[in-house]
Amino acid sequence: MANLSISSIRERIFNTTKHEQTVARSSNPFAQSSFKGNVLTADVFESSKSKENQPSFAGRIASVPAKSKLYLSAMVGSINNFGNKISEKLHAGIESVNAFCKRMSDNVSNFWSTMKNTEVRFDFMDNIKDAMRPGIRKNDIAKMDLSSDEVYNSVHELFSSKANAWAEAMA
Amino acid sequence: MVDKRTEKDVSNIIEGLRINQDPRSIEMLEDVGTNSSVDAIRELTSRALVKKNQHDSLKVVIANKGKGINDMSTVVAMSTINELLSLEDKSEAIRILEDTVNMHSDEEVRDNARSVKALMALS
Repeated sequence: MANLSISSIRERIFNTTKHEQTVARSSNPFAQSSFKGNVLTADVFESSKSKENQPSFAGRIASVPAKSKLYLSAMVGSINNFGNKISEKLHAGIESVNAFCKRMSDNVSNFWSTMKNTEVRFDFMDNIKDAMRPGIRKNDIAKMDLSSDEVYNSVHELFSSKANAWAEAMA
Repeated sequence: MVDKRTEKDVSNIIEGLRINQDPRSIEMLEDVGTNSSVDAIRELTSRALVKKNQHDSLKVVIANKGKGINDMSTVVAMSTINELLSLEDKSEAIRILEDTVNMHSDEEVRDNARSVKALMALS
């Protein structure tokens, strides 16, 4: 049962410095408490902060046998080599990115230079222009009186001239 | 390369002559179209003559050496045969083919006419 005498309570309330110093010396939260008259004087609690804050790797290395240290040094060396390889690969990657960007830049510039020297034509525009242009209509030919020599000769001449123009274009 | 305008003009003249009912249209098609050095013009003309489906026009493409089904160009010959096979009324064409097989002086023309006649009988 806790010591709840008036003097102890007064000491706790008005003399806090003393109380805090007592707490600071020990991590035992029950140092000032008694259990059925027995006070826990020994610090039976292990501080968790000590484990967290202290790096344990060096200590573990120190405890490693000499033979194992060779393996570890080899491992560290390989880690260094690995780092160098990563660096090389990274450097090569950067170089390849540079080459890629340069190639893309060249392609874009080539595309624009090609476009400048390329005449863009639309076939359907030609067809529309042909349709708009007055030409020989089959219905006109179909209605012509070919029994007349004059008409026959004019159509014959027209047909021949167009056929010859086609033949010359193919030659 | 021929321009589209010339191509269209020639096509319209041939098509107009096909529609024209005057017998002299066949004469003009034979004179200019089937004697052209351009395969495409000979093909268009042969097909137009077959579509006319008249005795004189069919005779030009069946019984003349170097024209229609006897053309040197395979494309022209096959196109003419295809047009003959597409005719709804084949009676006049078969009659001319029979006459050609029986009476033409050239053996090659007779053989061609015989083959086309066999095809038309099957179609």
